[in-house]
Amino acid sequence: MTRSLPLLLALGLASACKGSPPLSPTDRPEGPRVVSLQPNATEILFALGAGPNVVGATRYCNHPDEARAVPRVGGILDVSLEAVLAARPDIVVGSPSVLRGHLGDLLDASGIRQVPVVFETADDVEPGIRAIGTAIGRGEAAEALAASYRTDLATLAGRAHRDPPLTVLLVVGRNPLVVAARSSYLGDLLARMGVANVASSDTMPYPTWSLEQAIRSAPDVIVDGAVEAGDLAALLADAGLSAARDGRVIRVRDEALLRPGPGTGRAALDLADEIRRVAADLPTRP
Amino acid sequence: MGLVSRHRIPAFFAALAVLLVASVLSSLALGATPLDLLGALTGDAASDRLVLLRERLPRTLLAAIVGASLSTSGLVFQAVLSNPLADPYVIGVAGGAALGGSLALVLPGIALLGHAGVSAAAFLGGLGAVALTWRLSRDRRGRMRTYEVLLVGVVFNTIASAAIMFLKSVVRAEKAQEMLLWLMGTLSSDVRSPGAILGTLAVALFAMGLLFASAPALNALAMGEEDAAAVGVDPARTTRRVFLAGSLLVAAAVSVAGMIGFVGLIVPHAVRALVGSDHRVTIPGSALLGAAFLVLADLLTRLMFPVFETEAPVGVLTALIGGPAFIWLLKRGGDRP
Repeated sequence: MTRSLPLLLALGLASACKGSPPLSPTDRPEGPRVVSLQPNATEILFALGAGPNVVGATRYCNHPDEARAVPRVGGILDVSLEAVLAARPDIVVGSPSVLRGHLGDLLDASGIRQVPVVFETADDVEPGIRAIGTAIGRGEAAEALAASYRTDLATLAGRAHRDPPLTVLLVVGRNPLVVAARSSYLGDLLARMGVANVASSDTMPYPTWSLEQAIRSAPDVIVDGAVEAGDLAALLADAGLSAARDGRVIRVRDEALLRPGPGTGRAALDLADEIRRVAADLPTRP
Repeated sequence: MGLVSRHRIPAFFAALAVLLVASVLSSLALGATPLDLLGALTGDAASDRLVLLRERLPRTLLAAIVGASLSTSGLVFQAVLSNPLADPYVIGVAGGAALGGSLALVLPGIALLGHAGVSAAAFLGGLGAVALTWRLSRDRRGRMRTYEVLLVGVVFNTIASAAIMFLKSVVRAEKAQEMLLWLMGTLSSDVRSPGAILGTLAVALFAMGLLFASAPALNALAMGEEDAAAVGVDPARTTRRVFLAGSLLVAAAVSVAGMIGFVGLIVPHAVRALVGSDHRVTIPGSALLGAAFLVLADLLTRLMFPVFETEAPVGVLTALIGGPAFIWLLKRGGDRP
């Protein structure tokens, strides 16, 4: 084994040193080759009709369904620099924190354009759509998409309002119980639709709650936005929450609600309508 | 005495050198994606050249330095503590470095410094923990009591772990994930500038030089403190020097790569099983084998990328490989320091 090690090593090195083949004409989509390091950005790229231009994406980029077929370049924090460069992008879209540092230096040295975009709030989506659309040469489509998004957000205003407002608990994690507070992106959507968020923290966007806190909050409606499996309604019903006992728990089915993106407005409108529906029989508090 | 007889020690070192060189070349040639090595070296393949010089080379160098540091420190801690289960993290330096690095990741002011701030905080945290352990484990005559070093180290690590878990529970999810990745041990962070690599190398070479110079004294200490004193070795001074040099190695390694486990436990045992307990041989042997081991482990994480769509933190792999390997060595009736 020791004697054959150098030969095995040489064979291994020889087979590995071929590098990536040159791009053929069919590999070149119309428009720039784009690597997306954010699921929100991937969603926007596909919404702009630039799906064929996306040559690399994170393993969390699963919306729309076609995005699942895009070659992966790692995660959000664990981006593979080699995989990004191997995709031979013209443009890399990502958050400023990811594009900063070693990845940003390598992209600069490669002459690859970087488009930093932030998607922390609902208000970040419109500029994000425009920045991406401009970068890939689809400015008109971006304006149309941004206008549609703006209309959806405007329609959302007060959509589920009652007087006094319905109180809502929005859960994003079951174990431990993590809720969306007012200072979060989801909390902002609840505020726009005219309901009162029982999680009133202004400093922590997604605080961890005890069941006791959930019981004391006594919400009119519970929204289950947790991605992990489990029966939140049964858990909270056992804990004595009347909203859970009386069937006023809404399971979020559209993941577009859970992160800022072009589908956020439509998903939030659906949620507002669902809140109104489940709370329709709830007597108005004095 | 180990499996390798005395007169074959030069061949042992030659084999280790070949293994290290082969590991480094493999790490440069192979990775998450195919690379045109010739094109990268000649500059014809610009993108591949960037990957080779700015990604694989610094990462490989760091892996070698960190692997050598952890292995060597594990070896000497096992010797001075007379405990085959001692690893680089047992004396509390890991807890201190982890806590320092974690605080730097979440505190707003320091977080702005990026990974340079994290590395500096981890290094200082590690040295601070060592100083505390040292102070708390000395008797009235200033001599280090080995069982107290272990106890204080374990307790400190426990306290630091609790503090880190508290931090993870109160920060945002993305920050908690960032902390977790760093704590698992990774060579893919942003710490790979020439300055960072040279700085880490300088600290490692200084500390290893101190340890190699202490090798004859360590051999004497293995006979017992009284016998060592009889041949002119000052046990307290030797222990102090070895303790501090070993701590420097661990603090430097953790500051750039987080908590990579098992390298400092399994490699010294493997080296002693091969060549016995002469520290003049085991210190450089552990450094060479540890360097090769971590370079290959890191290469493996990158080769796994097409399968898992991520490069697993190298600390995960060293534990998965090192754990069973350690048990196998134990069952073979391994060695004692």
